[in-house]
Order: sequence, then structure tokens, then C-alpha cells
Amino acid sequence: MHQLMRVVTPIIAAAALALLSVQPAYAATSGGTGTTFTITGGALSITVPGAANLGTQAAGITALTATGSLGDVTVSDARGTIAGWSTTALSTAFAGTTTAVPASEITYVGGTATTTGIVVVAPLTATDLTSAKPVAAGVSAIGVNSGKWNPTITVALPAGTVVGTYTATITHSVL
Amino acid sequence: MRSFLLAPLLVVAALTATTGTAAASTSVPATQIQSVSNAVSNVAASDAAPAPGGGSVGLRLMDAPAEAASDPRARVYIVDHLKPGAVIQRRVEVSNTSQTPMHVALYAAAAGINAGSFTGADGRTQNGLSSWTKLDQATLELAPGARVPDMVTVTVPADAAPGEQYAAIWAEIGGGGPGVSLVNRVGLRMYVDVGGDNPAPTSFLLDSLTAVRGPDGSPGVSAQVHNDGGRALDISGAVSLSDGPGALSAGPFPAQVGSTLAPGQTVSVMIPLDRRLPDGPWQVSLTLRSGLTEKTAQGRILFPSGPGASDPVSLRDSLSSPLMIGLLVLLVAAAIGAGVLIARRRARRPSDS
Repeated sequence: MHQLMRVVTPIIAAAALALLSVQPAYAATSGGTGTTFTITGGALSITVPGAANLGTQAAGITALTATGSLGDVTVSDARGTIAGWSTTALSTAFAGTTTAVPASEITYVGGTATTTGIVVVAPLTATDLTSAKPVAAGVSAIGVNSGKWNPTITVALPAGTVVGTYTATITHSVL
Repeated sequence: MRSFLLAPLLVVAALTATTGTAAASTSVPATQIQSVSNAVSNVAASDAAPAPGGGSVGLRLMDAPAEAASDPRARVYIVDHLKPGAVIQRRVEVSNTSQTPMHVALYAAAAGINAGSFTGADGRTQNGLSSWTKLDQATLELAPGARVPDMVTVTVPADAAPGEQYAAIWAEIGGGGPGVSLVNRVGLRMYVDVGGDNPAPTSFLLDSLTAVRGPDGSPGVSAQVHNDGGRALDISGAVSLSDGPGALSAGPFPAQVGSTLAPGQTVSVMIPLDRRLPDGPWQVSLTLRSGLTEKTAQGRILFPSGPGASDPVSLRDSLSSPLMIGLLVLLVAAAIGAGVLIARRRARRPSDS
């Protein structure tokens, strides 16, 4: 028995060492002790919005659509990192004096984007803007970059929409 | 007799060495990439003039924890680990690059991670983290070209539940006018982990690789990533191809950054490749990273000749897990030990008879 233990003990010790040495590595993240440093670098920014008008549509018994462009939306990322950015769009219903056209009737077509710097921006087509939908993202970004696109929105007016002026608020959010 | 003991030890040492090189995780700080891009951006930023005409509203983070100086994510977002009862303050700066004065609304609102992206909740919806976040000034009046700081204070309640939460600080400006009113807002992400002394681990697994060809014929590699840690990940990385037809190598090709994973989520990260690449087969080396955590895996792929996807190549071979390696080592060592004992008993028998 003693002979057996003399042979087996170092083997078990070595095997135990082997098991211990194969461990996944976890990276420590910040502990928040209160000391901070100041970051230099630019900001993530989005253009000041103008006003958009979808024009006039004659009322009729068949369903119609109102289409218009929202004007250029430019996202500038001057942070100089590889973080990238993503933009979503959301709309309220088009409210008129008596009736409303729900935001689910809105289609947002991003179109094509022009970019500066190293970034890939492929604007999307989003339908149903009742909740925020992704419309454009700056991916594979390296350094300072920007993306500009001119979205077109199309509102499908249900048949029998009452004459009047309809207004809505469309929000672009970039993170 | 003693030399018999060396043999199993040498076998164990050899196996340990091979498992060391095959281990799937290394921690390599991404500071080299960070410093290159900072150098480029400093040149570009000084050349950039304020946008003519419209201009824009900008938001940036000014302070980050000193311990996170090497973490690229902490320089862009509010990323922190806080104990219940902790209070932190971070400055943010709002800028106006237009030619007209600007009225900016500042507030914190809820956010979440869905389908691989970090998105803010609609409007001013609140959650736990956003309700703990206060801004010194809720509205700012900015003159043309002005840059104004504001202070963000996050107060974690003493009874806060452990875990990571997400929110966003928004700087919002509205255009008026009849018809469609446009509101644009730019946000700063917050990833705050509440817990005890140690933060939850940051970890992810590379599940599989799939060679795909899009409808327009462009090839790509889709990597399935699973977040098995306790913190959200912002994935970036690259793919390198080697040992291809005609001894070709290609890459590195960067991954489409913008994939964000909450703990427990699985997402496919797409790495687009060059259209001129032959079908293969290729040896693929995939490196993905989030902050300071990096993982590398290898596989062999063959692109389909037409649009579609090849069979996924699994990167998580069960034989390479640490537990399996340890058991394998024990088995081999036990077999050698048994062999030694049997040899000794046979050597003793002639003296007995």
C-alpha cells in the first residue's frame, strides 16, 4: 500500500496542477474608487433638424399616400474610437383636427448614405414607427467619421381620411 | 526505480504545455489600436470646420474612472461597477456647432440591448438606473459654437439589486414648424453593474463560424458569439484567412462593430470579406474583443459558390474544455502508474518462487 501511494501521489499532484493551470481568463473591469481622468476627444453629434412638409393630398375614397423627404440627417462621430453608432427613428401618430393617422402607416426609407472617414453606413427601410426602429448604423468605424442620409417617409392614408392638416413628430436618436 | 516516476510527470508536463497553447482565451489590451486611431483622429478633428448651415448638437463624456484608462469602452460610454449606496459623478459636455443659439433638453432615460444593438427606450421611459441618474441642469441654452459641461450624478440606492443595468443620457433639440416636427437627440450609453467588491466577470464564447455568400455574391464569415459573463459586451474584431488555394492569405478583415450583447444573449457577428477571394478551403483565424477581453479561435471553411451559407464549423470542441483535459491527464497518469506497479510486481515474483 505504501509503495502504491509513493507512485500515485506525485501523479495525482501533477494532474491537479494541470487542472489548475487551465483556467479561463477574466478581465478585471473598473471598481469605481472615485479617481477619474479627463477624456480628450470629440463628441458624437447629430444635425439640428429643420422642418419637413409632406405636401398636400386630395381627399378621396381610395387609399392615398403622402410622401416627403425629411431633409439631410448627419451623424458626426468625432470621438475617434472604434465604437461606431446606431440611429433609430420613432414617430407619433399624425394628428388632425378630428381623426388621426397612426404611426403604423409610416414607412421610412433611409436611402443611401454618404460617409467621411472609415465607416460603413447602410441606411435601412423601417415600417411601423410606433416604436423606435433602427434606421442607420455606423459600423466598422475607425477614428473620426460621419454619415449623412436623406430619409423619405411615406404615410399610407386610410381611405376616407378627413380633410385637414395633420402633424406628427419624428424623433431620430443616435447612440 | 526513481526514473519510473519521471515518465508520468513528463507526460503531464507535455500535455499541460499543449493545452496552454490551445487555450481559447487570452487577455490582450486593445491599447495599440486605440493609440493609432487617437493619433489619426487628432489630425482629423483639428482640420474639421464647424458644419455650415444646419450645424449639430454634440454630446461627449469628459470623465472616466482611473482604473479603466486602458479600456476603450470606458472612454466612450459610462461603464462602471458600483456597490449599493455608491455615488459617482461624471461630467458630460454638450456642444453647438450651428450658427444659431440652441435650446437643449438633457435627461436620462432607460435603454436595453436587443438583437445585437444598444437602443434607447422610446421617449423618456425610465428604469432603475435612469431613475438613479440626475443631471445638474435639465435644459441648456447654447450660443453658436458653445461647449457647455453638465454634471451627471448616479446615486445607487442601498437596496439596489445586483446585476448590470443600461440607460442613456440624452441631449435633445427640437425643430418646430407646421407639418412634420423633427426632434433629434444624441445619447451617451450607460452600462452600470451593481454588486459587491468584485464586478461580475466579462466573458464570452465563440460558438461557431459559418461561411456565407450574400445575394450579391459577396462573401463573409458569420461568427456566433455567446455572452456567458455578467457584463454587456460591445464586440469588435477581425478575421484572417490563410492556407487558401494557391497558398493565398488574406485579411485581416474587421468585424462589423456595433454588435452589443447583454449577459446570456447569443448573436451572430458578421465579417464581410473581399469579393475577389476564391471559395477555399481556407484556414480562418477569428479574433473578437470587447473592451480588454479578447478571444481567438481557428476553423476551416469553404465558401459556397452561390448565394447561401455553408455548414457551420463548431469552435467549441468538447475535448478542449478544461475539465476534459484534466480528466484526460488523470486517466493517462493513472494508466502509467498502474503499468509501473504491474512491472514491479512481475520483477518481485522470481524472488518468491
